[in-house]
This record gives sequence, C-alpha cells and structure tokens, in this order.
Amino acid sequence: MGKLSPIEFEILSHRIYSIMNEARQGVMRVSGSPVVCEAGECLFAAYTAEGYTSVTACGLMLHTVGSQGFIQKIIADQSEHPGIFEGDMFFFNDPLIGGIHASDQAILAPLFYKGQLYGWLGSLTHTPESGAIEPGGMPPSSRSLLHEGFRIEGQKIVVGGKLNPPVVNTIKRAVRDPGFVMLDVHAKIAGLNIGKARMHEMTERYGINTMREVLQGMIDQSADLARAKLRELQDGTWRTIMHGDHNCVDYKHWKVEISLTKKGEELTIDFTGTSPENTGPLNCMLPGTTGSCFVAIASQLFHETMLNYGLMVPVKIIAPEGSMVNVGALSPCCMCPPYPGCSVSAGVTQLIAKMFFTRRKFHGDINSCWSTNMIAPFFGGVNQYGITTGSMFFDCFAGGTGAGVDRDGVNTGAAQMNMESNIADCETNEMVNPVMYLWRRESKDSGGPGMYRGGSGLSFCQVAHNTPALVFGQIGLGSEVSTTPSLCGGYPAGSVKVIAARHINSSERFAKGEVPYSLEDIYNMYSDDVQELPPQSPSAPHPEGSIWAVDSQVAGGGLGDPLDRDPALVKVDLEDGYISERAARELYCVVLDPKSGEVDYKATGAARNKVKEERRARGKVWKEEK
Amino acid sequence: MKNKHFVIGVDTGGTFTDVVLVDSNGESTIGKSATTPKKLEDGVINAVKDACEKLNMTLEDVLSQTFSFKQGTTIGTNIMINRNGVKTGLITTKGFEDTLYIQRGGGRVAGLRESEIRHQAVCRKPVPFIPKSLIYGVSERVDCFAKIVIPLNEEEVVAAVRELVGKGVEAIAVCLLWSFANPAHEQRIKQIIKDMAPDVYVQISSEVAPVIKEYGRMNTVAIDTYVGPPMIKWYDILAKELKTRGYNNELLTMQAWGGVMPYSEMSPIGTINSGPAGGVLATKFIAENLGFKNVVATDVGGTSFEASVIAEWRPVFHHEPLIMRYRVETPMVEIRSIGAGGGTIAWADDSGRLRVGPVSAGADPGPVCYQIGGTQPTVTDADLLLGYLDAGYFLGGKMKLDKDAALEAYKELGKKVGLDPIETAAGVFEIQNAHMSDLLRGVVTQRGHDPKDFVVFCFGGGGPLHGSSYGKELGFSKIYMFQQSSVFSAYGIALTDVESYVNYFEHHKMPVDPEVLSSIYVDLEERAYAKMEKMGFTRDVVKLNREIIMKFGRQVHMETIPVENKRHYTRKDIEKIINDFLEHYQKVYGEGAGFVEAGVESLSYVVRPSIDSVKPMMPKHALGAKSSKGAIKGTRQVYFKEYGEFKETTIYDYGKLSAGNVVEGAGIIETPTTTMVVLPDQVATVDEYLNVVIEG
Repeated sequence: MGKLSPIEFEILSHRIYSIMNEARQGVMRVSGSPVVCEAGECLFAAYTAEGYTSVTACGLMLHTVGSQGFIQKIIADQSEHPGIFEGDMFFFNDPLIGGIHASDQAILAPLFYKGQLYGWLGSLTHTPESGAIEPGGMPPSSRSLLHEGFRIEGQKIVVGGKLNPPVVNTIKRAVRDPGFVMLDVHAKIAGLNIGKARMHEMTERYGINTMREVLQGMIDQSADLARAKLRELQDGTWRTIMHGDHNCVDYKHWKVEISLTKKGEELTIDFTGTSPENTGPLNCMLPGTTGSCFVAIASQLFHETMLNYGLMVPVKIIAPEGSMVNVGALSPCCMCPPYPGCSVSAGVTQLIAKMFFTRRKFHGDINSCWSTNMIAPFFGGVNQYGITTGSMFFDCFAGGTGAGVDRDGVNTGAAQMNMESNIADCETNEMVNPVMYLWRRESKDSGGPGMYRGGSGLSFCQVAHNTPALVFGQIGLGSEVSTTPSLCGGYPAGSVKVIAARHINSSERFAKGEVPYSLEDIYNMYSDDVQELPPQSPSAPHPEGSIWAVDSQVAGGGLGDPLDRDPALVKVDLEDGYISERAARELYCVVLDPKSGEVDYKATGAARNKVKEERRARGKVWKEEK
Repeated sequence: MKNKHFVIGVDTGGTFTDVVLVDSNGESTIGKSATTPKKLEDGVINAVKDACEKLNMTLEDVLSQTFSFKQGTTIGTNIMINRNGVKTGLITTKGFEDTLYIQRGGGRVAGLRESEIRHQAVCRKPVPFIPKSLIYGVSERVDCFAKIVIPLNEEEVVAAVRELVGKGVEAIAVCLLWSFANPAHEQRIKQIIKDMAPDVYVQISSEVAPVIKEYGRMNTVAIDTYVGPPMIKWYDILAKELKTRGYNNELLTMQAWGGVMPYSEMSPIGTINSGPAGGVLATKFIAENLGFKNVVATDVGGTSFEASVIAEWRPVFHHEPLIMRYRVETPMVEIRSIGAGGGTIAWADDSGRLRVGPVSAGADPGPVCYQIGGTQPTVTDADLLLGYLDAGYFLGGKMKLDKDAALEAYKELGKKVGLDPIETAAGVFEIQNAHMSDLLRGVVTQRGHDPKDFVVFCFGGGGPLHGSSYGKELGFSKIYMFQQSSVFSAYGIALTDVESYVNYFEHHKMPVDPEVLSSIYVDLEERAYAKMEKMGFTRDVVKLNREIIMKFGRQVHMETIPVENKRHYTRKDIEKIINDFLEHYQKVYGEGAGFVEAGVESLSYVVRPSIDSVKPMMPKHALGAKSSKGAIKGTRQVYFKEYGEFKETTIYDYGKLSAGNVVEGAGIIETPTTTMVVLPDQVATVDEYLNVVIEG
C-alpha cells in the first residue's frame, strides 16, 4: 500500500463498494428484462485504469473477471486511435473477449478526472434477445458464433455524454425487439451515470492518486486474503469428471474433466481430458470458463473477501485449446452458461468441498454440487399487446443447492452464478409475456438422495396464451445423465423431463375445468399430441393453447449414503412431497407402519441391512479386480 | 381536571411499555411501566396510570375524557418470532401450492446482511408459517386481463375446507393468482368458508393486499391470517379493559404505513413494525414544527444504525418490504439499517486489516468496558478510550465503565493491525462513521435527492455522538441532536393520523382516456369514504390523497407518483401525470434512463383517506444569552481526528443549557442517556425547543 493509511483504505474501499451497489440497483430498476430486474442478472463493477476488476456489487459473480477482458481490449485497440475520452461509453458483447455469450451485453465507461484516466466502471446485463437465429439469445440450432446474434466490439455507444446514433441503430436493427433491448441499454447507462457521479465526487475530495491506490488496493487485499486462506488448507490434487448428455444436435456424452491442485498459496484448475469442442453451442470460450471457475471460487472458497480480480491472482487455469472449455474464435457458445459453464462451477465446487475435508475448520462450508440441470424455455412472436418480441424464462434460477455435511441443500433457492438469484413471480412473467402458468412447484424426487438430501428443484408448466403467433424452444441439459453430481456416496440430482403438446384445444378444455396439473396429466389428456423433447430443442411453432412443461430440473446433489439418513427426516420429506413413496422405500429403505404412518425403526434397520449385504455381495476388492 | 380531551399513544415494547398522553392544549405527559409479557394489557394500564399520576388524575378520569387511544404493539412480531400464531390453512390456485416455499428463490438471502449473503454455503430460507400439509390448491384461473380462464371448482373448495377444518385450523388464508385484478373467485371461496365454518377466521389476498406479485401477496395474507386471531383477541381484551375504566371510543391501532386504524378494521400484518413507524411519524412531526420538508432521521443503538427519510413532508416507503425475512406487499415506512451500533465489534481480518462490524456484542456480552462478559473490542470501547464517554457518567452515573479493560482489548487488536491502541480506536471510530455515511448517502441519493437539501436528525444513545461526523461528511444543511427520548415511538403513535388506503389494479397504456381515470378515482374515493364512515367519521373530516403506480412499457419496475385530486380529469391532466412520471424517473435514475419510446403505462391507483389527529405541542423556550458557561461541568482529554491528538475539551451539562446558548467546538454535551459531540470546526446552538443544532 502506498500513502493511504489502513483506515483510509477501509473507509474508501467501502464507499466505492456502496456506490457499486447503488448503481446496480439503478440498473435493475430501469431494465425491462425480468431476468435483470427480478432475477438479478446484472453486474456492476469498478476497475483499475488498466482494466482489472477492483470490486463488484453484491449479486452476479459470473462476469466479475470476464468483463475486464472488454476493458483491456478497448485500451489495447483504441487508446491511440480513435482515443478514449471523458463522456465515452463503450458497448461490448463478444464472448471471445469477455462475458460468456452475445446476450451478455456490457457497457464500459472510463473514469476521468481533469483529463486523466484513473479507472473504469462497467455494467453488464443478460439481455435475452441478441438477434440470433432463434429468439431469446441462446439458439440451440446455432452451429457457429455467427448464428448467435450481433456482436459489438467495443464501439462507442455514448460519445461526449450523448447516445451515438449509428451504434444505437446497429443494435436496434439487429434485434427482433429493439424496445426491449434498448431499455437494457438505457438501464446500464443510467447505472453508469449514477456511478460516475459518485466516483467523481470522491475523486474531487480525495484526489486521483488516492482513487487509483484504492482501486488497486482492493485487488491486493483480496489476493492477500485468498493466499492466507490457501495457506490454511492442505496441499493436494483432487479430481472430478462432470458429464453431459446432449450437444444441441443430438444426445451425445461429453465430459469436463477437472483437477484442482493446491500447493502452498497457489491453486491450479486443469481441464485436461475435457471433451473436444461440440458441434452445437454447448461450448465455452476462455473468458466464460474463467468466469465459471470464479463463481465457485468466490462463492465457496473465498467468501470472506470483496469480489474482484484479486481472488484469481493465486489461481492458474489450464484449459486445452480446442476442448469445449476453450473453443475457437467462431465456435458456437451461446449455451455456455449453463453448459458447460455451470458444469465447470459445479465441478470446481465439488473439488473445493473435497479440499475442505482436509481441515475440520472448513467442514461447515462443504457443499455438494449445486443445480446444473437447467432447462430454460425461450420464445419469439407476438405478445398479448400485439408487440413482436422474444425472451427467455429463467425460472431455473430457483435451483436446489448441494447438501452439506450436516444439512440438506436448500430447496428451490439458487443459481450459483448469482448470490442473490431470484425468479420472477408468475404474475410478473405473465404481465409482460404471452404465457400462462398452469403450475410452478418444487419437484418431487429431484434432490439428490443422501444422508443429507440435495435441495429440491423446480417443475413448471406454461401455456401459450393471448398470442396470435409464437415459436417456443428450450435450452438445457441432463435428461439422460444428471449433470449435478454428489459427494461421499450420495446420489446426483434427478435428471430432467421436458414435454410439449401443441396444436391442441386446451382453452376449450380449461373452460370446462379439464386442466393438466402434472406431466402425467398432460400425457393422459393429450396422448396423441405429446412430444418428449430433448433438453435442447430449437424453436418450433407453438400456437395459442400449446403446453410446455418441465419436471425435475435444477436440483442439488446429495451427500452421504441415503441409508444413513435419519428415517424421521425421510418421513418428513415424504409428507412434504419432496420424495415419493418409491424413493422412501427403495432408496432410503425406510419402512412406515401402515396403520400409524410412523417410522418402523426395526423394519427400517432390517431393510437397510439387507441392502448393505447386497452391496457387499456385489462389491469387488480392488486387488482382485486388478 | 375536567373538559380536557386527551389523546393517548402507547407503544408496547419488549422491555417497557411507553405512554404519551397529550391534552387538548398540546401538552404531553409521559408514562412508563415494565411490559408484562403474559398479560400485555396490564403493562398498558400500568403505564397509562403512571402518566395519570403525574397529572394527579385517576385512570378512570383520564380515560373518560380520552378522545383517541392509539396502541402500537409488538404482538405480531413476537408471534412470528415465537411461531405461536393460530393454526392456519391456505387455499390457492392449484399448481401453486409451493409458492410460499419457493419464495421466488431469493428467500434464501432475503433480509441477510451482505457479509452473510457472501457466505453462500450456509444461507437458508426462512420457514413459512403454514406447513405444506395445510396448503390446498383448487382448480381455477384468472389471466393478466382479469379474464376467467378456468372456472372455480367449488367441489374442490368444499373438500379443501372440510379437510382443513378436520385438521383443526382456526384460520384460512386465500390467495389466487391475479385475484387483485378479478377477486370473484376469492370472494366466492370466502363465502363458502363462512358458510361451512363460520368460526374460522378468513382473509383473502384481494382485500388484504390487492397488488401484483403473487409471492409477496400470498405471504402477506398468510402472515396476516396467522397473527390475526391472537392479535384481535388481545385487542378485544384491551378494549374491554379500557371500556370498564371509562374509555368509550374506538381503540385504534398503529399501522406500519404510518397511520392508525380502529382495530376492528385493522390489517393485523400492518401492526408489525408499527413501533418504528411511530418513530418515523414523530420525526415527521418534529420536522414539520421546525419547518423542514426534507429530513433524514438516524438512530444509533447498541446493535444497529437505522435511517429513514422524510421527503417533501412525507415518509419514504419501502420499495420491496420485508417483515423479518419474509417478502410482503404491505405498504411500510422505510427504515434501512446496518450493523453499526455501539456494540459493533472491531476486528482484524486475515490480512491484518482493521475491520468494523457487522457483528455486534449487543447488550450481552456487551462492550468490554461494561465488564459483563464481553471480550472483543467494540465501538463503545473506542468511544470511551477517545474521551467521548466519561467512564464515571455513563447512563448518568448509573453504570461505571472500565477504561483499563477497554484499553487492554484495543492493545490486543492494535497488535494485529500494527497500530497503537489509540490509533486503533480512532480508526474504528472513523470507519464506523464512514459506514454510517455510506448508508445515508445511498438512502438519500437513491431517491434522487441531494443530502445538501436535507437536515439530519440524530437520535438514540449513539446518534448525537456520531451524528456530528456523519452529518458533516455528507454535507447536510443542519445537524440536529436530540436528547434521548425513551418514548419516541409512543410519541409518534400519539400524534399519528387515522389513515388507511384503498387501491385498484387496471393496466392501461398512457395516455389513458381521462374519463376512465376519473371514474377509477371516483370509485376509489367512494370506497375510501365508506371505509372511514364505517369507523364513525363523516366525510367532511376526511382528507383524501391520490397516487398512481406507473412504469415504462416493457418494464417490470414500478414507481409511485402523487396525483392531483380532481373530479374530472382532462387530457392536459393526463399529460401532466405522464410528465410527472418522466421527471421523477429522470430525477431518480438520471437523464436518458427512461425509454420513452417503450411507452408509459399505469397499473394501480391508490387513494389514502386520513383524519387529522390532535397534535402535541413542542414546548418552546424564549431564546436567551449565547454564553453557555453556566453549563460547563469540567474538561477532559478528548481525541479529535482534526487535531490528530488529544486536546483538553470542555464538557457541558445538557440539563443546564438554555435556549440560545452557543457551544463552540470542540465540545462535549452530556445527558444521562446520550452524549453529543461538537467537532472542532463546528458551532452548536441550543434552539427554542432545547434541541442542539449544528449548522452545515
């Protein structure tokens, strides 16, 4: 630290952090996108003059370090010509440089004081419309980055404090719903204006050198704290393999192989062994992989520090070129969050958990994997107000968290990439989109069984409603293979089921009270029209009255042997609908007295012993197998 | 004393029950008694008696001459904390039975501090008050255009009610999707319940909280129903007690939106957090008397620092209120807080940097200097070491503080951060002030205001001690310091107007047909009048205020704009409403934030009927001489950042100051319950109300 005292540093860093939170709230209130203002998919951060993230507002973690790539590229390419000036704001959404996919649209603003550049502010929103070949910004049918919508490479959207018409018009002419997209642009600009004003007040008072020192000091502080924590943990290497079942073209098994090595104060995350690039957009460019690692590192490992680049200083990432976690410049990658992004985050979470086992002090922080079997539907068409539009639904952000060593995962509570993940109320979604929900509930048998159960996931169903024309598809993973593994003998989270029934007379039947309230009901009522969909499904005509439903998505992984779960907890889970009778009987081996409904502990013990005997009979001793 | 009319305000707190009794001349008398948890009404009666005795009157005499008895209570909060409300069932739209459990996902972090949110592995959801076994879904559906898409299956309703009653529920909450736009199904269900089980307490969401967003609305009606019966029961008991003792009017209850209502008409959930709302109303009253339309009220207690805002004479409301950790849709006066109180712990992180809070030692184990078990250095320990507090005069001398123990604690902490104990304590004081400033800055500027247009009021045991610092930091035009009022909430409750609200949802693109808007408000006002007439008020005493809730097209976030009262709106009026919305938006979110091309929409319309209450008088004193020498009680060494060292500083006895006295900084003004710090470059004046004021 330079001339600043520790007290001054603490005061000023806290102030800058408060400003980031204030500005982020401003963005969220102006945005038109429920995914931003309700689900919180919005980043607001301050950066050093060189473009390293100093501090991010509480909330979205995914782009904390990914967004710095945008600034560094602007500095590299534009410092000399055309130059970077006060009153400029740059628009960037190239996943090769930062963010994760073209829907992650950032605006970056340099901070000047009396002509000198001393820092940057950045605001990024996930805007679910990018002019891609399908509506919603994440087209499963993409086979190239060129299919994934417009990309603006750091052009000035604001010059001298005013919107720059050619850039604005480029965006408006590239998308299906310019009003929707521009509202997010205005939201980011509003937040940046708030942030700039507050930072200017601070700089006036404390001087530019102090501001530079604080912005860098926050990174250094986080790096110091991160190293201090790493020193407490045992050296070692831990490994995992995350599996997937679909590549947006067809069912195909892929894997992300991850090893985590801790030596002294350094951590290496190595993806060697990961499957090669997928044909479909189930790929990650390097900034996306780095961001996905950051999610696990920031939320699980270094939760005591500010969110900034400092957390990555002791971390090295090895991502082989050509693997699905480091694909080429024009490779399709719109699906990266969640896949393989969430698989990366979940895998690193699992490895951090294994590392935590080496120190009892950190056992309370052990989590099995959080929800990755995300299914997110998207649509395009004419809404109930006659407006042509397109968007996505992020109900999948109410996912189950992984079980801990002494607790179940949280049911329907989180998307790991965003600390404050929320989902919109159904009424909010229905107010702005041409759909009506038939149900949204916690999904039975979705949480990974274990001594401690993974948090339950979500099931929901939507009907195309009040629309003259709609297409509908979904992105997702995990119908053949669960992508959310477990720890210590627990089961992974349940795999997903997605169905649709189209060209049906549902509204007439609804008026008679004939309403499906489960997937089984849909099968029974529309047996001739039901389509079982793969987890990734490109948009298809979805006329008024068409039904789309998903079950058992986004649950958390279990921890420990289900046979060790307290039978009383199994009974409660059964009563509350988190597990089925079959699961209680076959997975947990809990026997309930048929008359009283209470746990028959003797019979349960016997049932569990029987299964353990069967396991022992099946088992092979390692040296025999060799 | 005869021919005097009284207004009584009561705040039943966790430890004490406070009473403020105001007569028709505006003079107020305070009463206080220990809260009697098992029979709360006894504490109320005892506290009122205490006030009566000061007037040399009997309880019966006073009550027989009391015009309004206004009661604030923590019953609702206690019921939620202890989870001992009535056994409550919920009927909702089939398919949405898990809404209270899903909590929009974000329930996992709602109400947590940022440091807690960062610790993602251990965040948990709060447990809903209605178990899943008591939640039933019935087949029905209304859509966003208020159209019935699936008819109500009354057989399912009957079966659900039968099962719930069979399970022993005493209350049933009803919340159906889009019921606020079309309440027909909810009203029908309510009728069926009343027919089948007339003794069961029923609340429907379209009456309790007719607003969009089903999770908040469902929580609101669920909590309202859960706490309702025991709360009504207690109010019945209190009403009876008061009646037998001579009070013949309606018993009024304080509501969290800053009004009182006859308890027979109250929203039970509205009583929760009503005590703090009383404090905000007291602030508003003082502000009005002093002539300030923009005030930030701050309160520094043992654990937290709280701030609320009065802007353009009106309290600011929460954007997305929480009760404890539960999202609700009840209008609530906004009080923001952070963990920055006297008991906040100072510590060193793993990199050796000095940090303050948010964890607090509270009152138990307390600061080290209290010597009741606390071992970690706190802000109060720092205040003591720096000389702001007198170890021999804390709480007016009732409690002695151990300065040596505080010094030892700061020595230990200092070693970890590489500073001597005084440097460490000074750093802690400064960091604490900065955290408070950051909260205040956000609270004021997030609504588009400038602190320079505001006055700051400093309340609580620690407010006047830190207020001169955070007030200076933010450049408030004046810093007001108040002697600690132990009955502030009761005072606010006493002066609160009877106020309610009625609202209506109808989605329109602006400009709306002026006749449509006129008709909406005419209907709303009739509903408002009917509500007040039911309470016994005539129209001529009812004031009405209108609001409209608007958003940009394609947006989700809504803003509330005041609307002029008019019988018939014109196109020009509609244009003005739109312009008011745009200006407000620009003020709060900056130029260019609004995307006018997306269009402007109106969603909800609100009318707030109110009846003015008799207000207490703030006793005025004639301004006298400037010299405050007569109040000097001594000097001591006090550390000021401005000097970077200890200086011999004059200590004043607040009780001996008079209106007009001037205290030049640096100086300390001591009262038995609070300490006021005047910084070296400040000048404090005692105003005609005996408040201590520092000009900006």
